[in-house]
Amino acid sequence: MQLNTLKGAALLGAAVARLLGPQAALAVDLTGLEVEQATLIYQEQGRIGVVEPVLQLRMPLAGEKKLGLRYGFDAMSGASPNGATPTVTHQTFTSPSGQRYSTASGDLPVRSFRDQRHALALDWEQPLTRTLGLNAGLNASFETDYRSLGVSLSLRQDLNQRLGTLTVGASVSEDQLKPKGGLQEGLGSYQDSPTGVSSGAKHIQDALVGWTQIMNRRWLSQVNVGLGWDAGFMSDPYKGVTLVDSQGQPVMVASRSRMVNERRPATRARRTLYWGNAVHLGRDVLHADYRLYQDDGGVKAHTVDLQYWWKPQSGMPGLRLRPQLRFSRQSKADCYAHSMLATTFDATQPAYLSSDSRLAANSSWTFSLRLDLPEAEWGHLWVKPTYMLQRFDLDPAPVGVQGDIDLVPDLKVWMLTLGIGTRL
Amino acid sequence: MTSLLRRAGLALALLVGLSSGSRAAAPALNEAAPLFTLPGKSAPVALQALRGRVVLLDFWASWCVPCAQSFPWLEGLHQRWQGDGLTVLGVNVDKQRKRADAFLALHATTFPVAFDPEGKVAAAYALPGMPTTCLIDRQGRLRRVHTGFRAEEVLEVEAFIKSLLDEAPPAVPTPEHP
Amino acid sequence: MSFQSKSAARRLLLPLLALWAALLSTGCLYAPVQPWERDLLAEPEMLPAPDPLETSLDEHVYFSKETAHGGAGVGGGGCGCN
Repeated sequence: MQLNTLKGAALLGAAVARLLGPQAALAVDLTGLEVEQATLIYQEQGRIGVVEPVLQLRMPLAGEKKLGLRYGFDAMSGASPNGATPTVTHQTFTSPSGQRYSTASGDLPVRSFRDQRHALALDWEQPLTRTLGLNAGLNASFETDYRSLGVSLSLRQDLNQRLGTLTVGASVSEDQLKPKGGLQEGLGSYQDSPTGVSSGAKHIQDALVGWTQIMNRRWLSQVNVGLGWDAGFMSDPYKGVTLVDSQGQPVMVASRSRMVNERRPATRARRTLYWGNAVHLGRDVLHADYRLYQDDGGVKAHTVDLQYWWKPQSGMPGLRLRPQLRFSRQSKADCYAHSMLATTFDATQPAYLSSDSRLAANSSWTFSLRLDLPEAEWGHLWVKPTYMLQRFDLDPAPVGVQGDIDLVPDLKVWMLTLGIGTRL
Repeated sequence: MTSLLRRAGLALALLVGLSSGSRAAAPALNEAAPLFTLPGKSAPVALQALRGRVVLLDFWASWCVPCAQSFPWLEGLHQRWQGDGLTVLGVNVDKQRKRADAFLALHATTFPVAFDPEGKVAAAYALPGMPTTCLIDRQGRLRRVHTGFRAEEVLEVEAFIKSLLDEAPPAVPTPEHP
Repeated sequence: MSFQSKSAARRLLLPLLALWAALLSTGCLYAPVQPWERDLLAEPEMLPAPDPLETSLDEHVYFSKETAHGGAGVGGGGCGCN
């Protein structure tokens, strides 16, 4: 951005504004506008598929301010587990909308599902002093049965000749879910115990303190401590849990498996410790991140993410290849069980119960390879295939015929992300 | 949870303590600016040889984004005031000369440029950031150090340069060989 | 609010902090970098998230498949996917 142009544009802008009145202030110089578009194509083996195009605009403004806008649209469809356990016999279920569906013996019961999501995020960045910066964000997301509205604010203070940066941030989100058929009684008969309440609310709060340090000419390191609190209706309104007999077979009631609606605790306290590193290896750059997550629902997770930016000496600026390896290992939530013995359920009357495999102890591996094509006159282009494999621990131990079935099958996901961007 | 916060606080304190940079003292304002001779585009460039002129010493690097934004302004100053006694001298601090040359090929300039790949002059001036603009008066005294490049500060810096140009040249020219 | 296994975080946090302190105090790993020496640090790949758009897509996927989330920063949109 040439200063002369800037000054000229400002003078011209002021003159035009005087002539035309306040509307003229809307005429904006778009020099420097960054336009990025990325599309994620996501397919789980035998389950959900998602296509998610996202558009991002970032506009640098006078005084080193920056305005960012991101709009994303997801189209999801496919089969989502309903929480019932696989068994050796054929099972039939009724969806909240009254439709019947069935599952073959040995298969994971799933219901077909289709939804759309619109997500909008606004981001404002502005320096307050030479060393203090402010970042404010707004985000909103809308699905047929879910809505999320959030704000975030963070401050960055550079210290010690910018060798270190202190970050303090907080965010609040108010979510509302409005499931088809209304809310169900937690642990009541599956999809058959309406509460008469049509919607539930979820309040999410996060706070974060971080320190970024220039370690030496090649190494940047960051440590964050984060705390979070969730409260409200946190169960999945469509998932249930199967109650089984001592042979591991679903207890049958009126020729249906006996199931209860899942129920999760109404509050959750979370904390995270994050250590991120970027190391310059002469030409290539290595990112090595670690995160410890822990919540009072019993989940503890270790996540390691390694990304290597390989920049071949090709004489073609912008050409890069980046392999990624990510591993995450989490323990199970206290309320998790893939299924429960009916006798145990009736005798102990558990307060919380969910068979959502995301609450199971699991190990998840992610491999990806991002290729950035050489920078062209018009902009840049990148592509990234990703494979994700998630394997679940069997806890509690299978009983009876459960030993013959894949109770919690692996989740395999293929993804392809395509990105394109330019700067005006 | 409080113990976690306490530990985090401790860690932060530790980091702040250890990370305070060791740095040479910055040259005093209104005192003689540190002299240097550096290789230029063709011939060496010596600050001493510019005595009697107002010198705008601009420290820049190819990797510094605001530096690139400041170049058209620097070139403009050079064109406008070199006849009035201003010398714009760019001091490049890139470690590799070829990066500086690539930058210069992209941002055509006519003002002189000197190369300080080892950062010796940058250290002598104890640059607080990038870019740093040092203003030296006709007597060779460092009068002002300005860090960063922001459009809203340009007019004020220009006014200061104008006032330095308006100051009387040294009554007795500094003898070359005393 | 209480965590059932407080000791786990404690076990990990202390060694991490000790390692951090050790790295900082050994001059070979920690050396103050002057403003004019930040050429490598200024490269785009050295940013914590070189491509925020890509990061937001990735985080959305991880969030929908794992319980653990957050840590790298605040903000980001919620969804009914978890």
